[in-house]
Amino acid sequence: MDIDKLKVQLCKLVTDSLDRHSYSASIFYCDKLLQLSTPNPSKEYSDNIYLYCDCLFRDKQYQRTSFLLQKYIEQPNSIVYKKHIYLAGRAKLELQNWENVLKILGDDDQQMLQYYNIVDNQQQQQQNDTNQSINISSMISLLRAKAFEGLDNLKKAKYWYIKSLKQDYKNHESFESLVNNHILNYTEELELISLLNFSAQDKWLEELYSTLLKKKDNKKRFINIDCGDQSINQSLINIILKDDKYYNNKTCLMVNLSSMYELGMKNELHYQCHQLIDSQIQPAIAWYGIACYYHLIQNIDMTQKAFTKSTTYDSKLGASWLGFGHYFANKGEHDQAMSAYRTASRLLTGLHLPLLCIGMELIGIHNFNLAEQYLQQALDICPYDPLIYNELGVIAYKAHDFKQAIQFFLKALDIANFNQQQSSNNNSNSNSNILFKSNNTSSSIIKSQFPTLFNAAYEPTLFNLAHCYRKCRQFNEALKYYQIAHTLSPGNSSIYSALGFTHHLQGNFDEAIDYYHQSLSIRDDNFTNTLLNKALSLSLLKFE
Amino acid sequence: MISRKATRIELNIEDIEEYEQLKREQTQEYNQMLRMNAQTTPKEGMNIEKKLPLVNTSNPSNTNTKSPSTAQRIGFD
Repeated sequence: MDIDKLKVQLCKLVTDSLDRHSYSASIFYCDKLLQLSTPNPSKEYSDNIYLYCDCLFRDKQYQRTSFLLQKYIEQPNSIVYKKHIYLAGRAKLELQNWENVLKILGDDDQQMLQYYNIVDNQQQQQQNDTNQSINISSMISLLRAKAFEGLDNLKKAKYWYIKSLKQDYKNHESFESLVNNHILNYTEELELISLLNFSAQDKWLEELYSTLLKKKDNKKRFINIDCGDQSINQSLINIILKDDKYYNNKTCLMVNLSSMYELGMKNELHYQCHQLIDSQIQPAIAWYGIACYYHLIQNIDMTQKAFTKSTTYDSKLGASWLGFGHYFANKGEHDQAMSAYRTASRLLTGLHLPLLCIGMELIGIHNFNLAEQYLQQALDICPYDPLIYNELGVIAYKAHDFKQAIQFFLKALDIANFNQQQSSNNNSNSNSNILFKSNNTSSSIIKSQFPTLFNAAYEPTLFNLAHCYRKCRQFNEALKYYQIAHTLSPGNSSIYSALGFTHHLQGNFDEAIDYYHQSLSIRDDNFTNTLLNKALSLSLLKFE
Repeated sequence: MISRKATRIELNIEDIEEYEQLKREQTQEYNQMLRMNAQTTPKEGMNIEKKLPLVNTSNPSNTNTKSPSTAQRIGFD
């Protein structure tokens, strides 16, 4: 029997089996092929052991893959290519054996070259370049980054992700990890894109990468994904899911769950979480969704359990830690909230939200100096989040610097208004009716007087701004903003109290008494009761 | 990521001080006006009520209808 012919036949059978995803068959034929190969050291053996291990890897036999490859590459006479080292490292990575990944790959390329007898494969490199395949050195750097990330060494992980992209900008996995895990802030992301030197024929990739960046100039993404109009997010995601029901892109899932939470879509959220749990693809995200659901229906115990489960499945899921922080803050447990936010901040180094939340939490305990420092850091990362200006305004208000507070609140509303206009331009179907739900006469007057759009989420900012104007004794301005806040949150007793108080200070006792009564009909509180008594005395007896 | 609601400054009992302060200022202004123009016509008085609405323009405790206290009745006050 002609051995060479048999080898060719076996080689074809292996490739065919792999193409048809029949891995056990491919392993069987490849094993025979390896037995027939010229013994080590030979290029044939080197290629066939790689092919054999590749079959094992595809069959998810990671331990065996890494063992055989490690044994091979550590033999001094073996002909080692970088692809052998990469596959051995990749198998260890699948086993989440981070230390061993670094042990196989070495701390850097220099160390790797010292460890192994690597054949200079410049020719292969050139061939790769012409074939538009991804550089193997870039893939090895990516493995190092993932291993360091697994070991919680985010600084080194960041370094290797960037190095990986510099070695080959086509390595989308590195880019995705950097962007989706919010490792870089916007400036760093832009800097990275400019460093990548895309060739003329790859300008399309540069443009695609740029659309995936966040914030600042790219406001559309900032609006839609980070803190914008959730109804638009939801409709976009529905279009995606209609075509591909089990679409499991991490970003898309997270945005879907978060927007359902923000829109209060309890039933939809419940159904989506069940779907995710059944599919068993991303359990950490599924449990994050469950936690959001329980947080929405105010089931405290289950919220904590679900967040715990989510962070246990994936301790690096920053969104879960952030949600955990909100849960503790809502419960008034400051220390735990701070701890969760700090973890989120450590994981999401390029995102301003954890710093902002730490600042908000510090405002809650009246530590304004430290809060301001955190908010400034958040502002450095993202100068386009109105929430930061709202918080800075609150600090100025508490320091009795009302004019400064007005500036901050107006800035927040200015950005919010811009965002809102952008959203409505993007989606002409969503008009101001969504934002101005109240149909009574006063709200229609306000609507005609203030054609600008505000989302209900900015009601606190409007309310805070009105307080500042009241403190500055600009009562008409105060009333104007209280009225806008009222249209966004019609059943809010504190707005009625504030409206009554402002009328009271102006000497309009009848209006004041009317508003105080409306407030007390919703919620009884000391402040309104005291002022109502004073207003009644002054109005009737001209004495208080 | 789920968002956290913006910090909302709530009115509290300390804000009544703002009202008291305004009332004090208006009372001071009212007293000053009274001193400068001792004989105020009723019409002008009406304007003062509109201009300085938080001022106590009547004092029920000074009216004659008020019954004397026990101490006053037994001649102890």
